[in-house]
Amino acid sequence: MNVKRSVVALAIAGCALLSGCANVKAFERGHLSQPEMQFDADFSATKLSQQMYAAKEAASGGYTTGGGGCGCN
Amino acid sequence: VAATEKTEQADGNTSTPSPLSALMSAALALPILAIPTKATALENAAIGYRILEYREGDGRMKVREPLLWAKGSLGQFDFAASGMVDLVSGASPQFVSNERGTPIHTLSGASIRDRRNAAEVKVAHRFEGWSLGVSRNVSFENDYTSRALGVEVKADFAEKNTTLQASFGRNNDEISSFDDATLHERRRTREFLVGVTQVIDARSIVQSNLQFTRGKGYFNDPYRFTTTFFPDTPPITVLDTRPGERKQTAWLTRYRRTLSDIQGVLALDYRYYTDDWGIRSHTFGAAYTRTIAEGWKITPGLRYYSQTQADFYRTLLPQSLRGTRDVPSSSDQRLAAFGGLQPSITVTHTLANGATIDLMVSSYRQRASWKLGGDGSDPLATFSARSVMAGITWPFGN
Repeated sequence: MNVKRSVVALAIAGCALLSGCANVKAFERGHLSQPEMQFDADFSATKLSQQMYAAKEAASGGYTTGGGGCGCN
Repeated sequence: VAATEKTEQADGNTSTPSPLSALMSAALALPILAIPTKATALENAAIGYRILEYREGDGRMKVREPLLWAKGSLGQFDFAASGMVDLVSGASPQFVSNERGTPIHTLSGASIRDRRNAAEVKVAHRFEGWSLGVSRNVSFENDYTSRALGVEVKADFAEKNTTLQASFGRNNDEISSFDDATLHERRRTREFLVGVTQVIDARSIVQSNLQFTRGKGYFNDPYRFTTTFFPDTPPITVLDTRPGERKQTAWLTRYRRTLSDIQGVLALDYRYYTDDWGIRSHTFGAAYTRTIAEGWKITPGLRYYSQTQADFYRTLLPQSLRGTRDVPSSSDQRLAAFGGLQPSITVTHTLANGATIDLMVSSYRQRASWKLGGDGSDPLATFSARSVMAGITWPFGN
């Protein structure tokens, strides 16, 4: 049931997002091209940080798939 | 507190493949040979080095993680590779007992040493309006081996204002134990992720990912156990025992906005997590990057984490568990209800040739009372850690 609820919620949020967004042309994307505007621009920092959290917290996920596991204690 | 004489030592030099071997192992699993070898200019290429120094309070674990990476584009192919070493030393909470009254953690002693070598290789091919990528991850410890494969599809719409993403991951883990030579267990995990990245306007962008993870196999911590003493009957000791299956759902949403008037970028993250072990979690992240001088940026950040406890988390065993072996029960503090706060500050310097150097300092603390809404688990030893992460990125090619 949680999966179904999550999919519905994501679909609703996605539709709301898409309907309210402007169509930004390529030449208007100067601000968007800044490094800090990229998601996981520096994957090495994300990788080390997420690994640290995974060793100390029960929750994980949402960033990528196929990342592998470890016996972190 | 070191109430055990047992010593675990693993120098990792005997059976753990080197980082280079791990990288080769990861690379050989991907169709890299399919990349055209004809002369094509290397674009958007960079190499980098990053190191994390992590130290827990109360003389617990110390971790050093150096990581070397490279990425670039060759024709229609994008590739990335990384290799890392995870050097762990110190003491880890091993068991919980009420021998002295209230339940407390007992550490494993100061002699645990472990080494993990891991590598990752990614290759993606760009087509008209969409891309297909595959990845391979391997991780080797003396008592834990993990091999993972990933497949990712991305498609652009509306003049690249919208990007849809779908990916699949498969992890195969093998677990053994220094304490039990007969232990050879497996865990199989499948991950599914769908996501959308949307340009909202010329200054803001948002991403929302939904991930489902299904795992089957051995989830126990083979080094952890719980002992409870009773006034009138013998004590009970139960090894860490968890369900043989776990279904997890994570919904991550990230928002970025430039505030050009003051040369800043605001980053806001939120993740909701739930699983069938009874854990629900909220993670909030906020960071603000500001240019303070030519080539210099500073980023203060704050992360807040909260989780409920697993259904089978307990620090005191009931009499009904006497003689049982397969009833889920764990005193692992990571399965308790708590909240965590992590302030951080990052300084980034960009050199004239485009290379960047960054340094992040952060402090992480967990408290039962910091759980969202209060009412955390009975507090055991409070947890705190400090970390320093430094990195350098060196671009080259066209």
